[in-house]
Amino acid sequence: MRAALLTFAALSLATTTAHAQCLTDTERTQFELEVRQLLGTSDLTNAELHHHVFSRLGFGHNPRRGDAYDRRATAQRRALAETIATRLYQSRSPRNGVGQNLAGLEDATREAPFSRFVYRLADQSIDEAYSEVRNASLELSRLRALLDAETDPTERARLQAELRLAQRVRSRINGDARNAAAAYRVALMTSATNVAVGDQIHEFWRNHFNIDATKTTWASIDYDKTLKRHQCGTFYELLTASAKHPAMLMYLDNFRSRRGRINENYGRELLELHTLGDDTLQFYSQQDVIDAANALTGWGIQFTEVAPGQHTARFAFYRGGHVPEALTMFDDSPRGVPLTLPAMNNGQGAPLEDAVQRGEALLEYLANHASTKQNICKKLSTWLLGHRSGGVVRGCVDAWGTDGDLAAIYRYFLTHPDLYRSEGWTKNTFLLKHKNAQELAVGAFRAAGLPVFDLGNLQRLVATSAQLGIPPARYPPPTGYSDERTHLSPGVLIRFGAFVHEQVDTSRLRLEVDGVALQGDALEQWVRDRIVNARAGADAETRHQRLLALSDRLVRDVYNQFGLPGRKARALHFALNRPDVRDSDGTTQDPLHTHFHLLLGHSSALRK
Amino acid sequence: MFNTACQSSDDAEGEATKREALRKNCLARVAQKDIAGATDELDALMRTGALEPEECDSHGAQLESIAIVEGLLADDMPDELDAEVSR
Repeated sequence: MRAALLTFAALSLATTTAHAQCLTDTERTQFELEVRQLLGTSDLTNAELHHHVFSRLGFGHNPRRGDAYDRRATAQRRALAETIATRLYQSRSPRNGVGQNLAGLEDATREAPFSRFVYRLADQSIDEAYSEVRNASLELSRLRALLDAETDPTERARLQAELRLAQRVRSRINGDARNAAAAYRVALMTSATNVAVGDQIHEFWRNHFNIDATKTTWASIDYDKTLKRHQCGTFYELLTASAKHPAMLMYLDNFRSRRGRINENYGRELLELHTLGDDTLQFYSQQDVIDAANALTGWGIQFTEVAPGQHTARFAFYRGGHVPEALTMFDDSPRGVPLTLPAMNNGQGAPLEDAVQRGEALLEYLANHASTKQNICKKLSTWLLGHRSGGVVRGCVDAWGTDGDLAAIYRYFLTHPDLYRSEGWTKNTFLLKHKNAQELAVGAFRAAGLPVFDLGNLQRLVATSAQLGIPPARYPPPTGYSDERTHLSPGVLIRFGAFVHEQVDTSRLRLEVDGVALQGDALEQWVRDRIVNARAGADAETRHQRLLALSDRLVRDVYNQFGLPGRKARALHFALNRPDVRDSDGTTQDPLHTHFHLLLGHSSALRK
Repeated sequence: MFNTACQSSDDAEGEATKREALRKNCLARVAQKDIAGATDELDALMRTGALEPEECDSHGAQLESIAIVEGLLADDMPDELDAEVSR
């Protein structure tokens, strides 16, 4: 065990290092130069490079965005470097337009007393959103009290009907809060520019510090915005912003944790997921989980009615609920580095203006822990580079330094040669990082160029992502969704195929092939023409080779627009090689069915 | 000597009476907020000495906030909530 004893007095609170922007102007210039050099020496073609950057540092190619790939453009790599630098520079800027646009969407089928503006909470402050739910709950309480006091049967029946309606109104508001949170998440991704460094980084942290809007309803969107505001500060600041937000306090129950009734949920996930990682390195014990929960007791939410009908929700420290005893943590694990938190105001430790600093000291200790650096660097490396070799993780830890300046860490990854080259892999596998189900659905949506701020489109996208296994904003486990394990099981792929097919069937799909936008019938015709050409005037083997080449072409040119790596696309035949979708008798298929199979790289379609 | 001891005993008794009054006052205030189980929980903590009467209000306020959060989701109707995801 290392002998160093960290005391509370030795832990000063982290200084605020957040810039108004993610980089200083000087850093931005230097960063752009470094990226330009890397892009200039990349062995990928311009098209490959753009698709790769759009997938890794964005959510897939949208040909309608201003920074779309244009093969006729000059100085492509230089422009791409400038765009990457600009996007990182701006990466903590809020995207207020997303909330405003969502709030304006109207469901005309809704009738009073339900609001027709189903996503209105996306543009509300946390206080406004909370007030809506709170007022509806207070109305329920008022009606229940009236009903309890009423004895007249007629009046009771009337009150019961009113109560049922009030309950539906309250449930609808909570439902609207959840749906707005889901729409907000997918709208951020679908409306993003093609190079969307800030939004990708935000998605990483949103997944790392996961919450579930099922439980956190009105606080969910503000939580997302809070994380983004802090994503260019230090890791300690980001961790603290998450820990103190009402959404996280509710999601992992820390707001309940109090003297005499400790709740370990947050303490455990703080150590296992948010900071140190799982206990394979034996840095902490079960007792440390309990003590972490003890150190954070009394952290809760203060609700105040500031004016009739207007409420606020803020982080609060409830001193009476705090466990005040001195804590010595991390001292009984093989590799633990002890931390001592003196008793609250016992006259022996450092004078504490506010005992909330005991919990903050724990967060600072965790934020700067070597295991935390390893844990976060591995996850970031996988997220951005697609691998986490030791050298890369060591480089990230070096960039982390002593203060955990997140902007420096992002710069490290965005100037890593592995992000822009295929060396070390074969030419065909540079895109191999798997898209998860949500990214797949979002990528298809973007490739199709669908209008983002459309109620039907958003509802369909949210539902598709949920059916594929990642309900936006409502992924329940605190682990967040996996970035390493593919979600593309056969069942998921079938549903994704159905989603693609639906887009084609409703002429919503818009793909770009050979620089020409193809949509609906035109796309189907394009596919059919090429099938006919491939089959014409050749022996069976030649036809087969031509169809394979066509398949590769479709996979590469068409499927990549859906944001799916080539190898994964070819793996799709596992999903389609099922009796219910395979054309087993060799008869002519529905053209759309054929097209659908080809889009998915279906081998049985090629054998025809 | 006798007087001093007697005085200390009186002080201790006075302190105990004062604490008991503070305890009752706090519990009464918390009871007014009608938070289920709150006064029992606080009383148990104070009787074991884990909670000072002066800290009772703060602990009670945390219990009140917990009750508010629970009330915001109580008896929600799933069909209203999940309409979009199950669409």
